[in-house]
Amino acid sequence: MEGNPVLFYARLWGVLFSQALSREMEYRLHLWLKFLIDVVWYGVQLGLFGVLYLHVPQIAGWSREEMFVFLGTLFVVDAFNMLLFSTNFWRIPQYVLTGELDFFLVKPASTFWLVFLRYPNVASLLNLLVALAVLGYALAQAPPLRWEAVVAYPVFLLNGLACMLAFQAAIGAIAVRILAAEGIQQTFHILYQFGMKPDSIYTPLVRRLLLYVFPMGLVASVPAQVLLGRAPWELWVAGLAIPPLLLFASIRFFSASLRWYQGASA
Amino acid sequence: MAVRAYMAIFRVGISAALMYRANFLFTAGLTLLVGIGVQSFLWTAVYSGQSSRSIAGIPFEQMLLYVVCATLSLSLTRSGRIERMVAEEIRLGELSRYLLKPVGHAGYAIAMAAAERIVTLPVVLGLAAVAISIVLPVQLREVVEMLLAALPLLLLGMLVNFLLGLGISYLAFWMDEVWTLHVVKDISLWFLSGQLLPLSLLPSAAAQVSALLPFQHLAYTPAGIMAGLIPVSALPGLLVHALLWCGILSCAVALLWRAGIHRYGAYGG
Repeated sequence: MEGNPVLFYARLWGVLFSQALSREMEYRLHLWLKFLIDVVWYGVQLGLFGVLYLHVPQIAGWSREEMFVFLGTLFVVDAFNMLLFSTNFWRIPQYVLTGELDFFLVKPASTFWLVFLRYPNVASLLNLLVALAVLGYALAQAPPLRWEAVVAYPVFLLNGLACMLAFQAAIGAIAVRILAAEGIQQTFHILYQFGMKPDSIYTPLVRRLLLYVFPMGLVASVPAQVLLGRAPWELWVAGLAIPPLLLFASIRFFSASLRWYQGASA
Repeated sequence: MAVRAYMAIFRVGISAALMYRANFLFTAGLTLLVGIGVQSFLWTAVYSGQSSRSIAGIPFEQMLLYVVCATLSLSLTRSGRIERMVAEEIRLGELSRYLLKPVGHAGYAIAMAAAERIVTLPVVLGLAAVAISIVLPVQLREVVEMLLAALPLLLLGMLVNFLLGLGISYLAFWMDEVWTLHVVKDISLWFLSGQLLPLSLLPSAAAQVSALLPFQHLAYTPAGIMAGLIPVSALPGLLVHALLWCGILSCAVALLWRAGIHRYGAYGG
């Protein structure tokens, strides 16, 4: 690798995205159906809270308009995760079992980067547009925003995404170690369910666990609270400090797990 | 002869289902536990802002019981590994194996799917019995009666989901990939089946439409009976409705098979 590494990886991702787009264009119906999956998921979440707010004015201190900002935030972070990392995360056991990981290890680029970004999910780019539209609609209904919250929001979104990558990297590292790992990969989606609701619905103990130990609360709940101007200072600190630390630790754990990898004969 | 063949397939299916029991206990058990936990936290938060502790006439404790029973019901009725495999068999040409055997393909699939689900049925009924005993002030005999009343709806719910899944898989005669349709169906069912909330909470027009559809029998009607939201006196009407949908879906699946098998081709060894 020569020159600026950021530019190098940006160009590399552009090439990989272009290849993924070519593949998807061969099966366009499949592309639209993949797009439909997340649209239906958005519909289910919006439908659930839409019906609940027909019967109650507030849920755990969140008004209907604020809850929809939370959901818009969740959809945006999820769409980025699906676009960048998710497809790759599910392929890790296959890489290990077939020895395909060998090819990532010998390429002149970061193995972690290649394992988690090799296959972009083109359909999720369309989902991202829908997610942004939901967020835009929710913000149009929400109370006016403060400028510092608007400036900080993208950073918290990025950190929410970093949390998701960190969890997947940690589980991916375990998958490298234990080979037959479909079950362990499901644990990510099971834990993710906690992040699909605002952290204030949980009891104080569970809430602390979700903010500081398994920080699924940092994925969407904290960014939404920052944007709405209702996050206390400790959520600002947690939302800014924990995700980079968690991601750093997960990358180190994943790199260490590669020492257990034994190649195609594993 | 045919019955003996299907019974043999059923026994093989039970052996195959038991092979995955560790996987079931880990993923399905954890999924159920977390799913019920998150739903319980949500409904606790929903009710905590209410002075009356009742929403649409449903007290908090009964709602929690419904959530537990609905999650258990859907986990049972929705499992569909066998139906999904059919699509892969069509795509790879492995369907030819069944065309040479003296059993019908749909019969083979239903025997395997029944075996897969029958293994989890006692677990689900047992957990539901524990939940009912904790929440409702009822005797053991009444708990057994509620479960027995819900059982035929659970069985028909399984059949409805099986037919929906098999119908989607038979679309593989025309399409390269149908797994996306299975995922769309599964995600839709969280809402349409009433797993996330009782369908009686929907706005009246939506509730009327959902009462016409078959999805309610995957979670809402069995869980509603178990939790006492639906009176047992409504059971005969619900059973007729579910049977009617099983008949409609069976005809649709049979038509798909007949049209699809004419297009089917597999080459090589």
